[in-house]
Amino acid sequence: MSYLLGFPTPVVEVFLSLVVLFLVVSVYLGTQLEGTETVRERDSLGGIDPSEVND
Amino acid sequence: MSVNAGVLIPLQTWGDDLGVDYYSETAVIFFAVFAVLMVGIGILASRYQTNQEEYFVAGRRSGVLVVALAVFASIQSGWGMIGVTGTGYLVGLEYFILVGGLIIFGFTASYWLLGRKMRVLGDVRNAITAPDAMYYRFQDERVRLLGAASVLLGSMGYLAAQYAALGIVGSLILPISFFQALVIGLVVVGFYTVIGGMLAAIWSDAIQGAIMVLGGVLTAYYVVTNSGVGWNGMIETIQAENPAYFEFTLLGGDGLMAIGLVISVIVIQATVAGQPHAITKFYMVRDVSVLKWGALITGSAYLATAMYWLAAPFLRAAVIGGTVADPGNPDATLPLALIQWAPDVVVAFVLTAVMAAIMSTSNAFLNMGASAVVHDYFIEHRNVDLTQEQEVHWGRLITAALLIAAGVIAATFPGLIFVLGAAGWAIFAAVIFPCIAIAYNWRGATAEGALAGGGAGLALTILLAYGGEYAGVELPLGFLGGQLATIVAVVVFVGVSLVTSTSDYHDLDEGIKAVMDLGRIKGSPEESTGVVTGDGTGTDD
Repeated sequence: MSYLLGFPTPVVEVFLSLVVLFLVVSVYLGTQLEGTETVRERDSLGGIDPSEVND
Repeated sequence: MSVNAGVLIPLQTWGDDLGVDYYSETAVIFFAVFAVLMVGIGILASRYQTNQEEYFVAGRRSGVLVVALAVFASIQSGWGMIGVTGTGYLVGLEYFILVGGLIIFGFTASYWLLGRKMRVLGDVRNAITAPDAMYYRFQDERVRLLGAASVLLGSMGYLAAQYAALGIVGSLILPISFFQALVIGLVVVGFYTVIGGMLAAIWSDAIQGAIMVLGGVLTAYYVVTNSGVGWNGMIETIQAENPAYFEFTLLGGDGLMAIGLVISVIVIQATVAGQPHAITKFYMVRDVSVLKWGALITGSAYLATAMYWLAAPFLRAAVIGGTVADPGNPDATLPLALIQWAPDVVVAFVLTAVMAAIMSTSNAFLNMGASAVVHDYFIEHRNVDLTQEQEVHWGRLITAALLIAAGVIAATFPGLIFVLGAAGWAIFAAVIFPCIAIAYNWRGATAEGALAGGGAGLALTILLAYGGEYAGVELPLGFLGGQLATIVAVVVFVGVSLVTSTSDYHDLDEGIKAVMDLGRIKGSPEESTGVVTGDGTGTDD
């Protein structure tokens, strides 16, 4: 029995399955991931730069 | 190549002299142009170095392409291109699936688990190192010291491994000795990293990453088209001689004896989120939204470099067919296949790409090792008061010192590439994976758990990784020492955290709670607790 690209075992199928799964997961994450406002530059910090008040 | 109780130990080949005779003026020219380019980047980036935030996290204004390629380039080392190709040449295609097919999920998990959280942590606490993240999560100076020790020890091991590889591949490209190549490589990578800081490192990483990707495409094209055996011929030749090459055999092990080895390889791929040279890049993006396509770009770039691995089955078929002599050292697989089948200009380009891979990995460790000493130990732990100019000055000085120390180790023990590099990865995985990747996603993690798990993991990694090499320690089921230590570290970390309570979620200040509560893909800090937008940030610590 011959598998993809003529290999005698499903090595290509297994590898491609992993690659496709990676593409689906990473594209899904990309479409879902939301940004946040840049905390450091927010007015609501009252003009305090966190870098100056922390540690 | 070591054989342990019938189990073929992968990863062990990368280190010996390649035993390949090669000289090309084109390669010398390519390397010279590459070196000048890197030095130019260092000079350009040095103009921006005004304080430690610039020096260690590139001013937090990088875009997705630079950061995603830098994550990829810092993970994909010379071992990933030459060492993996060599091991796959011996073991079979199963090995490539285990390495390449799983690490892409390691990248994705890193972005998912830590991308948003570390970027926001950089904002609310001005964090710039992995030990910073550990300290803020547990608010215990002992945890910071544990992190700094692991980063320094792991970086030194990794650096020495990269520089030994630099000497070996450099002496292949240039008509000079291992030692001379090592010195030239150190001067180049040292110059741009010392004066240009992390900005030079990530700019050069992005360029080096692009060179590595192009090199992979060229390698695949010429190996497949010029090897003479053709695709079907390659399969038929290997199948007739060694059918197990295409089968899933647990890496050539005998029955259950290889389970530990396979688990170890999986643990390596799964702990990318514990590698500080990858996850500290999340501090550097200019905005969280920039990370959207980071995992896709990083993983895709890695898959492009997996094309180097095609050299393995084609060389194997050519050796069986008698058209090419056995490479002897399996690490010679990729260079030998290129020299046999690719035009001189392509061989020169790909070997330069291998040098790029080695340099891009090493510059990240130089920068991290220096930050562990200057930022984590002196500035944060010892509260040494430095001016901004002094921060950069000491950053450069320590970077140079680490470079020299790692170079001396590499020149003295060039055969230790694998041990040093593997121990480096495992040290990071045993300490930073539980204390950052898990801890920022699990409210129940405690300082005692971090100290016990990370401490046990660090000690056990050093004991098992080096013990396996020098004392002949053999672990059951083919387990690799460093990865067994990683598993023990995570188990101890979780177990001790479950029965202790210091510094768990309820003890944290509001700013860190906001980071903890921040969604991995959605939500903003203010939606979590409201504290970051209120006065919580100003009253922390």
